[in-house]
Amino acid sequence: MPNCLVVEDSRLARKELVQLLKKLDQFEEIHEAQDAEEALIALEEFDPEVVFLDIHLPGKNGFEFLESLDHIPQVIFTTAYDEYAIKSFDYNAIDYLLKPIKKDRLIKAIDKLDLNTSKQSNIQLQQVFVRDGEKCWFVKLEDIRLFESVGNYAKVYFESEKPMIQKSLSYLESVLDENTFFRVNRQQIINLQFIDKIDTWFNGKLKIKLKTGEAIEVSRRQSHKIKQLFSL
Amino acid sequence: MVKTGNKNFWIAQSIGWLSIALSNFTVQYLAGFSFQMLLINTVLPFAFGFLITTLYRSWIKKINWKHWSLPKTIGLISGSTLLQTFIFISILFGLISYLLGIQELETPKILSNAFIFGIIFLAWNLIYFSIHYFNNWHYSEIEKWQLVAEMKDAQLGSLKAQINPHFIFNAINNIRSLILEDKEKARDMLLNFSDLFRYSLKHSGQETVKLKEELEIVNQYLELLSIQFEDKLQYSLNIDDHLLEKEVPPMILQMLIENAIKHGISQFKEGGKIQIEIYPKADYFYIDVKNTGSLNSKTSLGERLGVGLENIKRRLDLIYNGHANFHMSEAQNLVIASIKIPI
Repeated sequence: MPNCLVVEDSRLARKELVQLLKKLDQFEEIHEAQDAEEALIALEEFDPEVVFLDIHLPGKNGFEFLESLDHIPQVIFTTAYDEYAIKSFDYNAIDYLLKPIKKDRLIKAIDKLDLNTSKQSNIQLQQVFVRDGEKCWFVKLEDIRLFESVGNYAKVYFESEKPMIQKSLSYLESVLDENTFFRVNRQQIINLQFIDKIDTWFNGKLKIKLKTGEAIEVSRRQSHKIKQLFSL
Repeated sequence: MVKTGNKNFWIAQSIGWLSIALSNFTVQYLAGFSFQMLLINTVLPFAFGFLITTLYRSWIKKINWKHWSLPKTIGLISGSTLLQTFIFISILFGLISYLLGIQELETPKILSNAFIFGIIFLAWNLIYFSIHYFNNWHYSEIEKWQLVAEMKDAQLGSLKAQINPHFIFNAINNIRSLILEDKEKARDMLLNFSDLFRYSLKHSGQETVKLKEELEIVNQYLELLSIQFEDKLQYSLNIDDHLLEKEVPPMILQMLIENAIKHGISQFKEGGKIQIEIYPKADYFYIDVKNTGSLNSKTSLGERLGVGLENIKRRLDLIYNGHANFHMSEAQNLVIASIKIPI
């Protein structure tokens, strides 16, 4: 059975949700955290599959907490009332629970989750949380085709969206799986799965065309690496 | 509705006097007057009528007759009609006799002319004043409605800000949980909740309530907040007992505390304290709500900082006509929201 983590600053509210979850008997272990800091420790220690996350937290709020994570588990947001947050959830069909939480509603939300994936194949489920103004998304890494550096930030290209995240390209390069994501030049990291065509360019450089149409120029040094990688 | 304004005045003024001149010309032409007489009788009344009423209008525009009572306005109209007629007739006959070299003027002729032009000046006055009167009444009616709408807006706005939905649902959720843990306390909290809700319903339309009533509710509000924040919230309430009978806008303390929670206590892992102090000073009494935190504290969830505070300001302005005051400051890691109300 999977584990879960309840992040909630009010002790009584936490108790309430934990009791509900216990009754459902769907989780092996139910861990608790009062704030983002405790939640981070619990994530590292217990590696829960699901996090029930209150949006209002002292210190970092729920959104900021997720934004700070490189890979995040499946998340169900909880909130008492928050027009702003709910607007962004509804925009992207992200699931959330309104406090007081109804049992039926909780069951539905859990049913929608993918709890049967074993931890090994979880790599495919790896996702990041992206927030841009009033919108927010959970984006699977496999859906991201391109990261582009904009100062200390990075633009994340997926589907038709390209929001910004507060992470530098070098940082992203260090945490992303190198078998999937490749730094093609100083400005860009691409997802190798999205490559459509590789053409030789002048000066020994390569030009990559993505399946989505973008043309990306590879620096000379990285062109060399790509050639090795694809034994061109 | 007839529009007022410079352009419309000049059009009406010109057409009016021109038509009088033309009809005068026509009648006298048909009566077989000499060309010289015709010219004098047409041009002079037109020119002086036009001139006198134009000067008269620039004078009316300077006096603030719109705020006058109706009898006073009627007095103005009759007085100026007589004066205008007198001036007009004097100039007209003076000039005519000079131009035509007539020594003696016939009194009946003067009187009949005075009568006709008196009526013309009276008509001018009546038209001018009634148009302005109507316009003025119309605008004041619009103004009145705007004021009523604004008042309603303010009331609705404050109602909306009075019990924060976030607080309501958190309180209900906490009480629900508390039922399993401490039944008696849960029952008390439900009573607090019910009192608070009833208070806001009862008083939201009122301008002010007695401080002692407001404090009673504030205590219950703080107790409800304590089941959310538990030991993370410490609070104290000090009031000069002489002030208990003083009046304050309802829910104003509660709004200040809500703000202190939102931007202070709830932002810190270790929570914080809220100190409420109510004391007199000179001709005023002060309500200070101090909380741990900083004025520049972040509001990352897009919560519009100061909507509640703006509301407090507006209510104070509306109720005390600008004699009350609200301001925020920061000192020694405390944010201080201070309201000053005349005793």
